[in-house]
Amino acid sequence: MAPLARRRVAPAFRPSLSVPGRAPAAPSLPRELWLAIHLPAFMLDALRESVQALPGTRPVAVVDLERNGKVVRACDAAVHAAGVRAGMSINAALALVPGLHALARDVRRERQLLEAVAQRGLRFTPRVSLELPDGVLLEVRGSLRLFGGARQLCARLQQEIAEATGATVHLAITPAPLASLWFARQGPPGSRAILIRNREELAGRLGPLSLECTRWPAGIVQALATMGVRTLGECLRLPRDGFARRFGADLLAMLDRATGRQREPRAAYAASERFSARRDLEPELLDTARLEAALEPLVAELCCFLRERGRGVQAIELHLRHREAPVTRLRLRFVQPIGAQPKRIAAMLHERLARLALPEAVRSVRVLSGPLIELQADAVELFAHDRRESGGNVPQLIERLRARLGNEAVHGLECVPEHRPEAAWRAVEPVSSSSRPRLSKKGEDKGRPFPASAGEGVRRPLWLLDVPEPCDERRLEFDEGPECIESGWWDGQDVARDYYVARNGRGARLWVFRNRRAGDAQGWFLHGWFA
Amino acid sequence: MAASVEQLLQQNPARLWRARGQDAHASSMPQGRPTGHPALDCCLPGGGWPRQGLIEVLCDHRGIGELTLLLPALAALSREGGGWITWVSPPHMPYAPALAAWGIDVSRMLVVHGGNATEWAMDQALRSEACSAVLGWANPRDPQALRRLQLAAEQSCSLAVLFRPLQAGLTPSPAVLRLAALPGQGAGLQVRIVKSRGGRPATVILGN
Repeated sequence: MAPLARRRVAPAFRPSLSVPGRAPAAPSLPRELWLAIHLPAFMLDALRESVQALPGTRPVAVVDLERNGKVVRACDAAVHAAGVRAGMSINAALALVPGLHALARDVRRERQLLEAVAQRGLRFTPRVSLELPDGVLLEVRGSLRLFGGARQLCARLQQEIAEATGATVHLAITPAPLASLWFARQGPPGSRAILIRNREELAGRLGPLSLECTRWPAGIVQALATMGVRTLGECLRLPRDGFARRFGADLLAMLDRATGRQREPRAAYAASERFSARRDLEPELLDTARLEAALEPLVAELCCFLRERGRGVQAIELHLRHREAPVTRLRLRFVQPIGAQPKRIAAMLHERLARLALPEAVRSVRVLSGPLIELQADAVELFAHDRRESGGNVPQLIERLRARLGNEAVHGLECVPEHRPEAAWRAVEPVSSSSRPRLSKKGEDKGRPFPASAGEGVRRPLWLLDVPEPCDERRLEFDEGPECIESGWWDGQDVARDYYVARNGRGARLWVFRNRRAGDAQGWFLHGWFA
Repeated sequence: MAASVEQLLQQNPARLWRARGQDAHASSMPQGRPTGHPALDCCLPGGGWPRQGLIEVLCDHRGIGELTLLLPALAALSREGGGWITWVSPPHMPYAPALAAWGIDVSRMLVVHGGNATEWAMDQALRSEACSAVLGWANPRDPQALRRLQLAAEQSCSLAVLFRPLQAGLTPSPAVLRLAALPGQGAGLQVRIVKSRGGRPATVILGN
């Protein structure tokens, strides 16, 4: 009978805000179920370690020192029972509870607590969103079956959060994220979480909620209260246009989102975690080959860490601790983010360790990862004849070369649309160019410079000297020229030169120039070889 | 005895070096990569650059066309879209606009400043299977290093070219092909084939 009764109730709650033609219709909204996790005592939970460190069981309150007033922001149940409320001054609270211990609020640890909860949430669904300062939203529609239904999932989530952080949580599941949050803030009636599967039920079920849980500005809640509007149901019955005029379109949009008439996009939470593992070496090692072997389990651990998260790193740092000497730091950089590839990491390590001169024996090693990066699926050409065509080995090659020769020793080239010969090319990061989409299929037109810089028929030398060298023009025979290049007034490196293709007595072809301006160095300069 | 020589010839025609009769058995040599210079193709076994093994270019002069010798083949490799072209320790910066004008895909080029590890860098590039061509400028004094390079070049399918000074032509080398590039008459480039596995020494003048 319960569903029937509910159906009968629903029309009574049907809000007049849904005036036909004005309220947005919601036929094509995605079918989602949002689980809201609300931490009612997040300020206290964040300080759990400090509370536990206190001797005995003392009554505790959290005060906000930043606002100078020393206002109580949260307190434990015993203190609450004594009459202390949030917003009271600390002196008033001390008068009520003489032995009260005040702890300063720690926003950073509150954020850490919330992220720890979000971390647990990531085990249940990939779509996690934070609602600062005390809420986390999980989209769980796809996960319900795997975890044996909503009740099971809530129970497991609650248990995992309690184990990891010790925080108490309120849960609610509805099709709209905002509605879930409001239900969760209201707190569960009894111990069971609110569970609403149908969007149509939302408006009706939101009705009894008090306006407090919306966290609207106090002035607005006050104004609504003077109108006799104390619950969401009463609020939803107000005329839409009047409500929007008096309280702003934003609040109306919030109501629409909460009742599931409007979609609410949520920013996804991305874990900002890093890998860090340490191993003590017993006995201490001075031999890099044995050090490499000792690092193997740490690398395996790192790979396991990356595999679990399906993500990669671009940099790994190694700290080698000695007895006396300062810590030796090694930084391995990869050209592309790499995932769980122990062989590749080991090859890079081998290259670096082989050339490392240790000042002293190593007592302990620590492996730290850089920030985790989303891995892109490798697009290997389907019809590539061999591995060369996919170019898949190039990043490894670059890493190996860089590990020994240094970062600057390996680079790619790029044409720049410029008239000045020395500015018409530049060294670039090699693999960034390979990830560029290849526009022309055969690469015939690719890399062609701007027509103006080296137009068809204009000869350019294959070798360009970094710095033009003075040369003796009496030995030269001029073939072509002059080609006047005058450009670059905007960056202070302007040139005005006449270029000639010349030949010297030994059969070589040179690219030489003479400055046109009287102020520049006079004489002839060699700028390139037609090799 | 004659029969066994015939057998050997049939079993392993590519590895057996025959000073004579190469024209008659031209088809038995593995097909080379066209050099883009017809006159040179005629003198090389297989009608082009060898597909495997190290090529040495001995050259003291700059600007006589020593790179132009290779460019048609590099452009063809670039057009085929296979792999990267790696320059190890070039004496000057290869000029990107000029290479692009030759039809070489500049975005798939790697310049490596190898310092005294040039042979090692070439070796790595050859073994990586990522490069369609590896050009290096070095003069390995150690015959062991040269042999290692030749071995790496033999096992990879990259075009492997090592530029060395002319003086190095006096010492033996395991390279498959050794060319001396000299200034020719007028604008031409004179290419002397010093050593060619399966071919014969010859001198070619390439117009420029």
